Amino acid sequence: MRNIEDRAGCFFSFCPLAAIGWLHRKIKNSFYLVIGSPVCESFIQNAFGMMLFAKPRFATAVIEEYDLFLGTSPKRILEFAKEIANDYKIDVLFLLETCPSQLLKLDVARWAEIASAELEIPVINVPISGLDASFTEGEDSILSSLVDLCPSDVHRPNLILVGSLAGSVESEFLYEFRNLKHPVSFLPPAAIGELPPISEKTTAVLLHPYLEQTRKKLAARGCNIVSTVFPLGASASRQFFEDVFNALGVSAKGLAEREANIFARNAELHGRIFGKKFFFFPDTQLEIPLARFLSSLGGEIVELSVPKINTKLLSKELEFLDNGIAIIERADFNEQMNKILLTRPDLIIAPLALTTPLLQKGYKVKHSMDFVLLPIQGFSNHRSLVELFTNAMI
Amino acid sequence: MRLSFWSYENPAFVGICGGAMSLKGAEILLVAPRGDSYINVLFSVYKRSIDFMPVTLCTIEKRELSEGAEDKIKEAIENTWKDSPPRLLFIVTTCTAELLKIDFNAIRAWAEYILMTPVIFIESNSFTETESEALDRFMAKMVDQFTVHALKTKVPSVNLIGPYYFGFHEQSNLEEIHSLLSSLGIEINSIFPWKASLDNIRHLPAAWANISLSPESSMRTLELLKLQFNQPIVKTIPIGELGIKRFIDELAALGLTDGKLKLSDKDMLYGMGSYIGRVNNFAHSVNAEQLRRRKAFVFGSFTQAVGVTRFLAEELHFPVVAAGTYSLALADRFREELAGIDTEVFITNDFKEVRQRIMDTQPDLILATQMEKHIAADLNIPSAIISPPINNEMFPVSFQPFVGYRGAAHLADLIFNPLTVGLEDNLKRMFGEDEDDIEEEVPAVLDLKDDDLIWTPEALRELKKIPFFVRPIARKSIEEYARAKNERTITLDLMYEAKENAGG
Repeated sequence: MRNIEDRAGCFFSFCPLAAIGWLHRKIKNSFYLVIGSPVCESFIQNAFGMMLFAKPRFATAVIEEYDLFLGTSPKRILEFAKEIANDYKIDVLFLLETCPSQLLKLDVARWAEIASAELEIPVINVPISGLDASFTEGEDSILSSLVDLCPSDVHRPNLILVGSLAGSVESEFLYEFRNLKHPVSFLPPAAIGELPPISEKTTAVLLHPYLEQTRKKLAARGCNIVSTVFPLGASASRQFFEDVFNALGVSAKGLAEREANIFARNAELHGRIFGKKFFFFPDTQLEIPLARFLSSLGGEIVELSVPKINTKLLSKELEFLDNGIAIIERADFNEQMNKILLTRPDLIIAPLALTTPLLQKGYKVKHSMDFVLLPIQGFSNHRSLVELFTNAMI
Repeated sequence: MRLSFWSYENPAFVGICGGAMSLKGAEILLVAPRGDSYINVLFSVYKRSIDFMPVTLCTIEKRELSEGAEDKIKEAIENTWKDSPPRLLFIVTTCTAELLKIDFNAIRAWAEYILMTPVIFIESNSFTETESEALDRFMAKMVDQFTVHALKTKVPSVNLIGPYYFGFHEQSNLEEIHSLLSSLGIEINSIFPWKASLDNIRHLPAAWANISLSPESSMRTLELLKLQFNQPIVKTIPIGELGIKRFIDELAALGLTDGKLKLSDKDMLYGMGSYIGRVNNFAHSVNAEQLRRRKAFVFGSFTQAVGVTRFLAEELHFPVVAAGTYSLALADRFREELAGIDTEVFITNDFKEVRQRIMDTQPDLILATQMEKHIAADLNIPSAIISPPINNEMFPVSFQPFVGYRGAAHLADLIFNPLTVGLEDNLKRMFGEDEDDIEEEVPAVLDLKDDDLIWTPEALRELKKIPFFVRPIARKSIEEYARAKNERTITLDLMYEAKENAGG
């Protein structure tokens, strides 16, 4: 049995609202209205900088003092939704709940229904809250809300790739699946009108380890969910495509050769991972697949900590992860700093808040957000993924 | 509720944490959901400090909503500080903890008893208060709690009230104001809260007067010090050479200096003194002469917008078509300060209104916040950042003051550099843009004259998905791969094959 320990400690990560920073680029003409406090608003502004605001795709319905006592009328939200729809071209509006909106028990779901009926575009309630969700799970909340909108009337076999990917990775995955008879689509889709149909004949594969709510929703809709690893690195990509092809009853050709070829070409680069010590702070939930990847190249994982672990979603990943590596949930920051002094890692994978001070103290550090926002999946990104680590160790 | 697309001001807890962590030896317990620890991100990204921010997070999670947070907060305090109490501990909250009914005053008293060190709970109101208002209230509370009457210093001295961790070009401004004051024979008694110890705070009343370079976040504290210790407030902010002159006159009127700068030969040769009069020289040059047919647009915090507008209009004779501020609380004073300037004054914190005014006035130069810099880029208008909110340019690696003589010189450069002037400008006005200057959508990347490779439309479309700054390299490596394989046509298949086999 694998050793998983929950320290219930304080660690530094982002608010799950951060996910709208990348999802607004994926879904064309999507707009995000955060129902929150000035704290929520300033987080989004500071996290993503102002360039996003010069052409707004986000706004905040700022809770004011009187809302705390008198409650908020759905009319207000409807006015805001209309103003946004008038000023910007929008095909879908997301209403995002936050810690304060949940604490105040604001009925955002009902507001979304009312606004949707009035505006004649989908207005979707997304229950994101930093009280129980970690950084990347914001994407999970949004995708699981989208599942509810996916049509169910088409009952023919199809394949859905779930989780946002860089445009170049999407093209590449479509290319890998070019000979399938199944229609292949993505969730999130490029436009809200392109939501894929979901039925018992649907095969779904999840691309990120933080999509647990979405996985549950898809399972409830009767989807066949492929149990596989996350396609980080050539070996995992081979495994990933093999598993998907197997699930669809198609034979995969030439994958092992491609894997071998990539390994042969990158032997020198892999040598720079071998024997090195890696330390993961909890942040993105990508820690486990990344540790599995490094460990398979001969890296030593001295600390593997995650904000939380979805064992079902990660079951196949955990099979491939060296059994000697303990996993820590909700690590305590001070304890981890002591462990760094003891283990002297060659590379620390750290959240943004800790990156600069650790660099100043002389450690080699890789900022963990890069694994969320750079194309690292699939065969052709194997080398760039290794280089993210090796370049940080120079 | 109100609809907001963009806020020029951060919420209260940023001001309180910014103030508290500016103090020497102070630590903060932040009671908040995990995501609110982004304050640490602001700190570490902008300050580039070797130290972790002195913030310990006590996370509010779902469990605390039902079971209460008191025990968890006490446990966090005990675990973190029982063995090594800080010199000063602050308990700070954000919106979530404010909504829970937590008796922070009881926790504060308990912590003070356990740790035997001053523990201060700064109540914040995330729903109504801004960063600057909260910083001001924080400073006033510290003054109220820790200052005692003190004898005035023998030599004329001032306090600098308001410099703090997230201040605008703070480090550079402090250095420059220090040089200016020393050359006037005035000492700095205390700087507060920037790196102030409790002794520095206790010693505040010894100064002859108080100076603030950011009245938007220190008026309350300045008024309190005036009331309690009879310390006059220096109102002028020394932005621009005329601003410096008024500043010196005001200090002289208060009896702190005779108004004469005492500068050594070295200072005059290559120190602060060598910058005196440079703006005046610049203002009377052929380049500056060309500014007069243009118009500038200014928007920012009270201090910055007033200082820059007056500098432009009075010293560079650069017409200002509109001058605005988001410091709503200082609206009247803003109008008063700019009463003598021929410009349209406006007060707003709605960026859409600012954008509309820019479109209406069609300025040649925008001097404002980072938001307007992006608007300016959209509209193809030159711009520079002269005001908060917080962004990377506020924390330059080099010395870039906004106040004092070197500040005036820096400001002149900042205004002049984005503009195209001189012969180049005349040519453009005469004959329009040179066709060759207009960038193609897909940059020509290689010398194509003896290139016999053909890209299929699908492959070319895929190539365009690669970010433009790495596209030439990607294209080159794919074409080299094709040549090595003796392929003439680059198809999608070949492209992926090349990408997969890259490197090694």
